[in-house]
Amino acid sequence: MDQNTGVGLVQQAAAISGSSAAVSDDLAAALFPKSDIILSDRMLSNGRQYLQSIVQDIETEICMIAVEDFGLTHDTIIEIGNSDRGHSFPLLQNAGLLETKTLLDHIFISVQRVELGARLLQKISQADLEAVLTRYLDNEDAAIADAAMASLVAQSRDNASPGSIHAHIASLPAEILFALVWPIVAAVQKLSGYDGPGLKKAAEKLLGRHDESAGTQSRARRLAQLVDQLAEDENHLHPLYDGLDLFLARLAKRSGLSVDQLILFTAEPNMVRLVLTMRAVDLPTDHAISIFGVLDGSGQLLTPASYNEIDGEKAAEMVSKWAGNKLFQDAQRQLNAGLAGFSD
Amino acid sequence: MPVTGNLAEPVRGQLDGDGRLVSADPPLLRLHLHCGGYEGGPLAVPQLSNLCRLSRQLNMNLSRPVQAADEDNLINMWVEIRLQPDDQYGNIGISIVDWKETPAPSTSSQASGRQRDFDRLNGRGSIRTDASLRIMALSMPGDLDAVEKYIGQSLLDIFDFVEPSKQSVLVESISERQPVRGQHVRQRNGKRSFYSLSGQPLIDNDGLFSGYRFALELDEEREAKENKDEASLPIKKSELISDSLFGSQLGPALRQPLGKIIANAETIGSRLEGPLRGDYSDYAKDIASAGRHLMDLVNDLSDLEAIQRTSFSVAADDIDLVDLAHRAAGLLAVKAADHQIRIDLPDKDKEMPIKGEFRRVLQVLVNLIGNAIRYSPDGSVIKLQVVSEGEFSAITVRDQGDGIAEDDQQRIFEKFERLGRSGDGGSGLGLFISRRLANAMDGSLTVESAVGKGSTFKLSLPSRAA
Repeated sequence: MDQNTGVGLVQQAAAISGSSAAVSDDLAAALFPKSDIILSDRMLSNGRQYLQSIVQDIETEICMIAVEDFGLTHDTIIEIGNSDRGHSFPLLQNAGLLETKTLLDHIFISVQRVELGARLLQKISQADLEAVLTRYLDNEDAAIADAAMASLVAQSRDNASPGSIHAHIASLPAEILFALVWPIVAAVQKLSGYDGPGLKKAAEKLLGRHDESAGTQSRARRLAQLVDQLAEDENHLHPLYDGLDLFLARLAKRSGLSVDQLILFTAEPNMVRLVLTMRAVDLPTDHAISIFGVLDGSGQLLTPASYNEIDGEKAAEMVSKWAGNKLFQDAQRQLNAGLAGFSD
Repeated sequence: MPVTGNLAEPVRGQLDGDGRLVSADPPLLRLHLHCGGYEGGPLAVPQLSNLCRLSRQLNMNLSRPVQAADEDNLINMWVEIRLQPDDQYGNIGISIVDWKETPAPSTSSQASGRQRDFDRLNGRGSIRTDASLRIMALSMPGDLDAVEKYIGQSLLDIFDFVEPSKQSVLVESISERQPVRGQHVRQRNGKRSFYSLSGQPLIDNDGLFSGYRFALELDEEREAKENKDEASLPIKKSELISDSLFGSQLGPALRQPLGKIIANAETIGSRLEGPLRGDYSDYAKDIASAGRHLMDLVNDLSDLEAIQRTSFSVAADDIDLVDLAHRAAGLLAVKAADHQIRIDLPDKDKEMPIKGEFRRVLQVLVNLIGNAIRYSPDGSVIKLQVVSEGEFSAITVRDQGDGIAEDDQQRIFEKFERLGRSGDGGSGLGLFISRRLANAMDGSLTVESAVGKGSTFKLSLPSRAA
């Protein structure tokens, strides 16, 4: 063992001694999960990959803007700007800056969306999926045609590398991008030792030019808002007919829930809340069963009897409750956490 | 189905740094005003305002769906909030690319449970009485005034019993402390709703009768039937003109703006506010004249409506015809002077006491003198004289106009009869109304005239002792 290796081991040991203190946290999270959702290894891996790719994209973008638009000549910043690997991720991870609830929820939803997309592709080809949207291109309402075109463009961009979990900054909701940008700026400053205003200005510019409407989900929401008013589309609410994003956006609009909530429902055991939502918006039985079959990944079946026996009024009441203020719901859940017999 | 199509151009608006809506396209401005905002005030559409606030907080552009509503429609919008980084005032641009209005969902499609709640709210109530049936407590949620009106009153005073129920049956049941079931009653006052009344006697802790607890259920079938019966009653001709359609609704609504038009036009015409080109001043006078004509017409139509009502009645005041003649002439003095017409009045000291409504007699006289001025040549004399004719006293108004042919003398008292004249400011209702008023006061209005020899109108009213 040469001296350098020795130094490396010493550093490693010091780092490990710090992190091992938290092993009980990891074990507790694995042993006593608080949700009913089972996180598979694939989802965890995808989640990590997704987060790393966002962080890397953002740091690269900020450094590029700082160099190109604000004339920064700092070597590390130039290197990060041209690099194809992430630099600030470990720093942010160790500092716990990536563990905010908003961010983690977003990652989970993004990963589950990819999962649903993969399930859908087992039932219909990508080409067919794209073709279903083209029917809106000729719609006599110019706004619908325009929104359909925008949605198709966004989808094509996302599907450039099918199956990939790679994130696009353009598809991030404003709040998520905002929540990530500033910790990343701080991390890059720390890594580079640069403390001038250039990075902050670059971050502001990145935020300022972010166009939410360019995101796939955003475009699907706009299209959903428009097509949901077409009477002839009344019975065609189906992922095979609309594609995943438009289907979710339309169901969200009709139920009053958010798309993120619906995606969360699809990860829950037996997708019970999704089934209830479909009942609440009065989807016909065969339709609901078909949708369940397309989105389910665990080989479960929804039978007509079990769907029909759900009381529509009760389902609507529950859905309306879920659609209420999220902070209130969270608080209510936490307050009732220790009380037996209280639930949604 | 959307009721208005997609707008080809985005609906735009701009907020200043303090969140005030400094400019907006009409649909956005309308929504803003509907939400309680005012021009140049803070953006009052909460959903849009929140989005702008978030955009400013994040310092980022946002594109999101927003749903708002006005009275009739749900409005789905796709809103793009655009910060203007180079703008030193911190203005924010709002661009709504899809503005879709759909009729708001009908409340009739409410869940049945919710409907039941409303039914309960509107129809069901309870009444608690003491031993003598005096109301101690009541809940009639559909009639909030009921509590104030009915507490302390006897139950038998606030309801009428309707077939097949009879008050005697109820009284008998109560005297025997028996439960009461399904009695049909109707509120005597207020909403006059029909109810089904059921009650149980109350026994206190000492085993003594202490009153009744009644349940009230709105009798919708009866209500509907009764309303239908009322609706199917033939409408009397005289009721076709509503009691208050013109006189108390349209009339005042028209008089106010007309008054303003006349006053402003007169101000302009008389150049009170400063010099004005002569022809403009004349135009203003024309406007004032037309306004006065319209005002007269409104007044005439109000009167017409009033006198055609079966319930029309006049007061029998103790009045003096001479005094009224002077008052009426005074009102028209300026108009007469404009045409160099002299109004010759009876001596002020003379008295001619009569019975009649002051306002209405004055109205008739103003009409008669006004007509005389209108149809007399400039520089002529209009003579008013009073005569006592036993039970009646009369006043005559004689002019030196062209006179009225004998064949036309009755026609002039008909509604809208102008004898072919037009453009002189008359409505054709004045004499019709005047005669009806005279008749309503147990008097009469007649005319004597010959072509080329002027006309004499005579208003006779019941005399009274001085």
